[in-house]
Amino acid sequence: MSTKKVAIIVSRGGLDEIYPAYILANGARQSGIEAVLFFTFYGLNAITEDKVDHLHVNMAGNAASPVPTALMGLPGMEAVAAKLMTKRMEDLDIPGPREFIQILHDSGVKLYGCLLAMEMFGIQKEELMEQVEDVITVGDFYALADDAQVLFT
Amino acid sequence: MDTPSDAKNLDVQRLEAKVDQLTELVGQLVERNQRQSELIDEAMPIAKEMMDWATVKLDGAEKAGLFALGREGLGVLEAIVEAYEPEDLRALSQSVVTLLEGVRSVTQPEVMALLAEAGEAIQHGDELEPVTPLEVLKAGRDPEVQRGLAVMVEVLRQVGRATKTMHPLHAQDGGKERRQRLLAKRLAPTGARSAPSAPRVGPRTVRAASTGTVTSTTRPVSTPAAPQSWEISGYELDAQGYLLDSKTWTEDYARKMAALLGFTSLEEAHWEVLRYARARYAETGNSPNIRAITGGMGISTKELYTLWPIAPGTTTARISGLPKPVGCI
Repeated sequence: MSTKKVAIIVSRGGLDEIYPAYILANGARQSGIEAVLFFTFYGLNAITEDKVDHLHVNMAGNAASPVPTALMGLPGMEAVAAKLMTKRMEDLDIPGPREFIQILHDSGVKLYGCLLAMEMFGIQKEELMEQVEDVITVGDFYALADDAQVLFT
Repeated sequence: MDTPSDAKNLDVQRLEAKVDQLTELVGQLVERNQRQSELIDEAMPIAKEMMDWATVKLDGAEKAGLFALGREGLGVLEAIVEAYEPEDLRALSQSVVTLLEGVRSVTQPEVMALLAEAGEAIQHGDELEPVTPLEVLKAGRDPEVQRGLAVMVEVLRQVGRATKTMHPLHAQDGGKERRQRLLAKRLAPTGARSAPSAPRVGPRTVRAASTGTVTSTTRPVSTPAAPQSWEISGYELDAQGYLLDSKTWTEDYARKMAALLGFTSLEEAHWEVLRYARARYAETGNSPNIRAITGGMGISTKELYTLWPIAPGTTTARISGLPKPVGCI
């Protein structure tokens, strides 16, 4: 089987912003393709132990949102949107952010944190979920992605 | 026997009956009159309160120069009156009954009381503290506010429905366009009378696409490496290597397909997954994907990937003689 690989960069931490990357990585493994997930900036929230269960959905400024931006700007609306989305995903049996990380890890997807972003946000390696392989630099990432197709989300 | 005295008796009886009827009628009238005066007694305080309130507000309005504005508005009103034609009045006469029904439902005592209370809330509006957005959310939990919102929503729904039914009518008679044209002509400043009255369709603002998923394609990804050909003698396969009829599946087929995919032997753990997948397909009619297998069998994704390291979902489907599983997870 010819070697095939995708390297997906997750730069944002909204519920709706991490799922495309997760589905792509998981789908790659299902199709026999290697996958690497590189979490940077707010994407780090999705692999930080005490934040992974509290990811929000930002619908303000989202042209596709059925709710007017003025309303979505009100306090608490992000949490409400996240709750609705989580409920819908549960109904469809789509795994939540924490369970999905476990599934990705189990499927053989390699998860990495970005060193620079972690220094910026003051996150220690111990605060990351145990499924995370390592904390790497952009140079390391390119070395990993050498034979891969790179996707930025 | 017919005697004059008998005839007289009969007349008296008729007369008495008539008097009885009249008495009853008078009684009814008196009762109705009483009820009306009771209603007036009840309504008086409300009306008085509303009048007091209106007087105060009107006084304030005069000071605020609203009447001056109103006088200017009369000119506009005049223009509107001129813009309407006898046909419009005929249409109005047809709606008078509906109009009166509307007035009747609005003037029900309960509705009037509601209005009076709402008026009171407005009157004391200056005593209330300004509400922050957070407090608006909190107020949303109040059952009374919720009920109020429900009423408002229902009213809006009716308005929406009415608008929808009105729209085709206007489109038919062209009355709206005519009125708009006339109004535009009347209200246009002198010198601009010939301004186009047709509604202007401005260019749509196109929002710049925000950064979504950007791909930097370096080289295309082809489908997973497949054996040279999907052929197992004695069985019919489709182009992608799935058994065409799952009923023709046998354990022999499973071993042959596994060998084709590079598995030298099938362990009991493999067979368990295959049996589960087939049972699930028989039950639901859907070829189970990875999540359905792990969730249904209570095994971890990792275990499944240990059994079939490459593409466990499609591999399971292939070896168990089921169609390609559908789904993204």
